[in-house]
Amino acid sequence: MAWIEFDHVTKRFEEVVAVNDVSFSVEKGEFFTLLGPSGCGKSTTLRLIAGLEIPTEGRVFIAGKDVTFIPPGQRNVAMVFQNYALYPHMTVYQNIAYPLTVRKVDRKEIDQRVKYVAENLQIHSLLQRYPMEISGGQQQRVALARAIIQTPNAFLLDEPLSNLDAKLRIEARSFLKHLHMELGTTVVYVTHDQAEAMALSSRIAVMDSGNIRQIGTPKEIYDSPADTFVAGFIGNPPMNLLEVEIIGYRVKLEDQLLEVPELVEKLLKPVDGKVTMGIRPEHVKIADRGELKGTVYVVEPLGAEIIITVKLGNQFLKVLTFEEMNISPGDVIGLNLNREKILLFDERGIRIEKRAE
Amino acid sequence: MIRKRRRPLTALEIVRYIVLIPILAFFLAPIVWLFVTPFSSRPSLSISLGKPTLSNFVRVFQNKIALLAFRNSLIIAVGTVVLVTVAALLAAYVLSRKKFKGRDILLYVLILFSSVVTGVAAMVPLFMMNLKLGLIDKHLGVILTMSGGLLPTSVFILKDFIDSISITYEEAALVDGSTPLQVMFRIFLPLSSRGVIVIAMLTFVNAWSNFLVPFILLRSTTLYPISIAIYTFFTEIGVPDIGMISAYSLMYTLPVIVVYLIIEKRFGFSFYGGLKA
Repeated sequence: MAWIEFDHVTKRFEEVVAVNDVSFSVEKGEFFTLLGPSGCGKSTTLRLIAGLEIPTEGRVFIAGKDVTFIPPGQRNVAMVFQNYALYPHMTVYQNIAYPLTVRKVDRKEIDQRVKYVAENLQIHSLLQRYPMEISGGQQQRVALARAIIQTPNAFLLDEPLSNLDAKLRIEARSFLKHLHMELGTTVVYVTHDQAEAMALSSRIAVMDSGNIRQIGTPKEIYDSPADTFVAGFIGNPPMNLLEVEIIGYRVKLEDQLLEVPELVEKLLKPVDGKVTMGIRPEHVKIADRGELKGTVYVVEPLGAEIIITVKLGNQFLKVLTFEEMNISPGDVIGLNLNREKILLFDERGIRIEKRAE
Repeated sequence: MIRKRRRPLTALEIVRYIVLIPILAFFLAPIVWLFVTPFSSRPSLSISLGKPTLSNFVRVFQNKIALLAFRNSLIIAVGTVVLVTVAALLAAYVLSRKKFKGRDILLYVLILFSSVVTGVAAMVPLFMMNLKLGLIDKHLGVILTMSGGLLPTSVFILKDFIDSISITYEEAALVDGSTPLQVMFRIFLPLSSRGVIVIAMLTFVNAWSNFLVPFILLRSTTLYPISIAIYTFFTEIGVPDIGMISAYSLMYTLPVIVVYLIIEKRFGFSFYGGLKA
């Protein structure tokens, strides 16, 4: 049986449905990420695991036990809050020791474990300080220490990096990943940052307005998004989504035609008429004699890469390139699309499956 | 080193001082009187020290009612503080943390009634109620009546204060394995202690100085708190004994000032949350 399991869980607040009939399971030792925009129900899902919310319908299982109505303290999970929730009236030492103190662990053992954990997270020099006297990055480590010391069934992390500045965030991200590899404890991680999700997770669940849109490994989510929402949410810049029309073996984009016989033949169901075409910016190449013609709208050099926004009729297409290019807004350029990577979505936004090769 | 030269006063500033000095004197005079008259050998309603003496205090300490009144005031004030603080904390916690139907209306009604129906207006009904409950001429009646009057504002202030304490501390403590009681005593009370102290102090000062409620509800002179006992200090021919009254007033005022100074020194009235007092 899965380590953490949601069985048709719904959570309603008065009239608002925060989590809508959600089912998923997390395997032991996995780094599982709930990803979605704010208000999509990912934090509520995490709070349902922690026991801070009780589902309106459905069941929650942790470590093979039905914990649906068990209070948070008895679930043996450790949570790191977005604002860390370090108790301001306690020293760092007392904060880290707190979960053991309230469980009446022997004082000597507490002392040993606090020192061990603090040493590992390199916060041992801060033990006698108060949370308000240490930096944001240090606070985050203290919050992690308070979670680690419990040897819990799972770590629940609620946007733990969002309060750090950009540089520290990247550093803390690698640190988190390393920590997970070292401890091997199951992690359920909540974030709205797709890059964080991609970098850290074993699997990602993409959520939108209380529903899970797709669950999969970062690669699956990136390469074959289940629908336009996932496609548009993942990637920086995200996938280009263009309104096109399929006419026979050809794609009509604005007033340009593109021959795509292989693509149309591989589709599992026949498509005719209006669809959404998805292609990632790095799968579009700029070529002098490209199949599509467009006008350069904006050029954004980012150092290693350049993002070029191209206007095709009334639609915009972003191109990601690593080559130095002498292009400026207003230029007319040719584009080639990597046919293998083109995805099609039907009128409801669901991806139209292709036959496996 | 360059000395800062004193800038001459502008006309506006001079006018300002001319207006301010009499106002200051007007408000300062009673306080000066309170600190000077008790030590005066010939106390009067004007501020004059004459020959310094402690005889006024000696006479207060020889007066049985005056000393009993100290005990009575303490019983009433401490009783009210304990009742109001505990009840207000529990009520404010629920009002702050739990959303339920009619919560905001309840809060408005609380504040409305506490500010509209008070003091003199409620005198007769309060007396009747205490009479029916058999609480006339008992400290308990005074404590309950004053608590009733002070609770709404206290609940309101504390609710605001608790709103400013993030609920995540309590949630974190719950997930960390605490029982609800541990959350209360280890997390919530330490975090809200400053708000609780403000309420306790407000209540103490109010209960200590209240005249009307004990005046209506108490009959026996041996149960009088200081605020009423002070009215018994007349000479045989009905002239107020200003020496004793002033000495007693000073003794009456000091605990409040001392309490305030201690708390100010220890807490400096800065808070973890947003509320400042």
